[in-house]
Amino acid sequence: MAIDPSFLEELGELTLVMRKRVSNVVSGGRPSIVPGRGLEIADHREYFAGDDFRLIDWRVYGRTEKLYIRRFEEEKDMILHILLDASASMDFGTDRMKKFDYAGSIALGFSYLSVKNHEKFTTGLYSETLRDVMKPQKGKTHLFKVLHLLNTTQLYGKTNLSMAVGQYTKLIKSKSLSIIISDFIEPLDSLKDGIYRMARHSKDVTMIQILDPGEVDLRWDDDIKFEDSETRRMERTFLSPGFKHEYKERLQEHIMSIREICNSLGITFVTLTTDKPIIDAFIELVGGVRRGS
Amino acid sequence: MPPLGLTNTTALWGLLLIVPVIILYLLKPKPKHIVIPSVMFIMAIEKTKRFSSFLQKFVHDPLLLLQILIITVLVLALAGPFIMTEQVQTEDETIVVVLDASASMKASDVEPSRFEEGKKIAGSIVSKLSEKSFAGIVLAENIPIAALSAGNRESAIVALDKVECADTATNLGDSILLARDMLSGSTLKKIIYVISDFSNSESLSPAVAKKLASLEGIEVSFIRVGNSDNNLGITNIKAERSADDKRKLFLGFNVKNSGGWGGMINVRVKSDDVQIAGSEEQINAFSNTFFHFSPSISDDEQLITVELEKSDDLEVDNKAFALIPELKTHRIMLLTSENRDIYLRLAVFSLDNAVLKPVFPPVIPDTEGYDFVIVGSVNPEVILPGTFRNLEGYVEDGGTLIVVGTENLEGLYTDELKKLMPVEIREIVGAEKTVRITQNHEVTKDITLKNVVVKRYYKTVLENDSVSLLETENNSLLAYRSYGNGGVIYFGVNPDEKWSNLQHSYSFPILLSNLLNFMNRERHTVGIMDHRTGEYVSLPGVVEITTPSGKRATTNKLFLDEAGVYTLGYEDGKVDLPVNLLNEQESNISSGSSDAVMGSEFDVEKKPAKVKKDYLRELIVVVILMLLLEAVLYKRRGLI
Repeated sequence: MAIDPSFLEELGELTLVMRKRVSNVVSGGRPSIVPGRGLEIADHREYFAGDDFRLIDWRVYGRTEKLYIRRFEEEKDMILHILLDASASMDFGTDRMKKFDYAGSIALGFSYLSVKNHEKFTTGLYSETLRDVMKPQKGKTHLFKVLHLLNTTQLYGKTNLSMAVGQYTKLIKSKSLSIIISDFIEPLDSLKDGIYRMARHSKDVTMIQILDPGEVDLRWDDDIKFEDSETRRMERTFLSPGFKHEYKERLQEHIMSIREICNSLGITFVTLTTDKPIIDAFIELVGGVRRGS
Repeated sequence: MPPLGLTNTTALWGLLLIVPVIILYLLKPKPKHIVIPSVMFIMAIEKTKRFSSFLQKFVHDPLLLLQILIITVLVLALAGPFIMTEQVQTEDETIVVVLDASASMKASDVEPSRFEEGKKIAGSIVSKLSEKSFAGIVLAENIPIAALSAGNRESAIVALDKVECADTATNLGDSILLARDMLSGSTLKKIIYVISDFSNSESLSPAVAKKLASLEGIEVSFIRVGNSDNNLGITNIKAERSADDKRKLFLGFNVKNSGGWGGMINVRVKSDDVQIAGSEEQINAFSNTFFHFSPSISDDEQLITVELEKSDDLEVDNKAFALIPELKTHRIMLLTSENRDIYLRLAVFSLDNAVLKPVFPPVIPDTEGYDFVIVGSVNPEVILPGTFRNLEGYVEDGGTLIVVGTENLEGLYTDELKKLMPVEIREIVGAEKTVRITQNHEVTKDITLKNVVVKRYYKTVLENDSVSLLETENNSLLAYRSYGNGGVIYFGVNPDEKWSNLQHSYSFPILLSNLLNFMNRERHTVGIMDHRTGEYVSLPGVVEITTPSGKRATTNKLFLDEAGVYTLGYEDGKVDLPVNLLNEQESNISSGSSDAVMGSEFDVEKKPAKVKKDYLRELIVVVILMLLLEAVLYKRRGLI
């Protein structure tokens, strides 16, 4: 994986501006998929812009004249789980970087935010099954471990989200915030199953789809022999404008189907293409404003 | 399947074009090999295109196959493939159908008539012609008539539909020669089909005409229609007032039986449709019987009809007609000099229905009451000014002026007289010449001028509306014209012995009598005696004609192709014109030609021939379709 150094620098500036907690970013102000069970207030923390104002403890404000929000036990123990697709399909790129590089940068971005906010985070890789899961920890050292993992990962195998999530959810001991980053190019039935499993075992789930512009637009012409990067199946065809149009329609249909599933479960679903600068993509994800823009 | 042949085998070298096409295809870069994650969508699309998937099992690039096929088919088309088949082929021909349209073809032994049967046969010949053939049609009446000069199959069929049979005799020989001439310019196979009953032919024999045509490479086929001899016909008729009793009719006619039938027949004689005589007579087979009747008749003009009441195969000759003029006494004033125009006076005196009054100018009595005024040898010096003006008035009121060609005529030939005359007189010719009857006419009937000569005569030029009856050296000697309600006659055969020897001819009084009778009829100046079919007559002026079959025309020249009574419509009344067949040969309807094929057995012979069937058109269509398919494929690929 190749991390763009400027991305990390920009990330640093971004976190200063944002001052957001990753947990807030991921939950996005939406009600948790798991309804509250009379949560106990664990402690308070300073209010940051974007926090749910309903959590402001006005008694503390009255005493201190500073804004603090209640932190519940559950929130206090919230861990950020990032599940990253490491199948062969992610080893594809026609633009500046491959999909895995892009996805990994996004994952690293979220991990970096967690470090800045002293929150626990972890990263797991999957293809047909779960691979390389790290123990949730805080701090920069853990961040570098994640970076090392991402840099040394081999991309191989088919994608099976259902299988991978099934295995991963057994490892989740508490409610967590989950981010799945993949191209989600696999049969819809398998995807559906995986999404449902993840939603049941997470407080909040965000799904980030990474696609390459080449696979979106089919940026080739004439007679082409296509080989599937995962199944190795070959298909020869002539790319006429009509064919490309039909392909795009089918791809969009697939994406819309995933979006519908996510909407029905209250899951955030975002599609990004690798020709978009990562920092812009990250800002879109965290919903903030980049300094100087 | 007959073997395939090629007209132009050199074109097959064009197949070599396939080689560069294949080379270009091979040189074409191989398809790119792209590894992408989203092949599942591509495969899903390809599954929906079953045909192209199927095709791609055999051919990776259908466009290449199509292009090779296009080149192959195009080259094959240029090579001109053909097969030889044997089929009955209609070669291109130029034909003329000579169709007998004479009276005998109206015989009904073949239903509805021989002529209609002939038309049917002609129609079947014409309908079997190829598209590029030509056809002409000649109707063989007493003169050949080209009904169609050179038309295609369709126009010939239309022309045949319109032709009609006449009541005339036939002239097959000349008709065949006309057909020969019509074929002279053609380079195609030439055939003449002669359809007739071959009962007779005037003039040239058909067999001789056939030989003459054959000399020019023309095939002549004789096709016979009709095979009956069952016919009685009136072949001759004479009807006039008896010489000794003008109130009695002298009627004589011949009935010819051409066939083997014999028996009793009824004969009826009618005057203006009222029977005045009749009898039942025995007719023997193959006989010619003379009949005579002398019934009483009135003084009036009347149409005499003779009818044979016998049903046979030809009806047109079962009736004959004759017009009997009105019995009138002619009152004649002769302007003459003492002891002049003696022979003329004697001739008139000899007529029992003429009264002559010689008058010696300058004193001319009132012309009222006189039917004729004859200007004879009268001294011009004694003719008072205005005399001819008065005579003009007399003629306009209905009188007839006869101007005799005398030596005094030059002196009398003023503008006033010139205006009246049917001829323009020039100088006197002093030469002995014979006299010729110009046309069959009521005036010239029953006369013969074989030994009549003129010694002196005026050179003349016939006026436009005049009718000439006698002439010599193209100079009219007897002519007449209408003028107002009357008429004017130029009598150039002066009976004076210095001018001619007419006075010695027994025909002179007959001529005179005929002239007087003719001119003294109702003022229609018809000038026509009973005629036979096939004759042309000139009328003194344009007249409305109604034929026996009811057709109408307005003309001054009439071809008599129908037997029966024509009606001539003048301003002051109608005049009947009887026309008869009176032709022994036409009445004999038995067939005469052994050289002819019966119409019922005739068929246009078509020999099977080897025919080349080429496929150029079909191959071009295939190439065009394939080019369209290629365009569609290019369009689907987004290349155009």
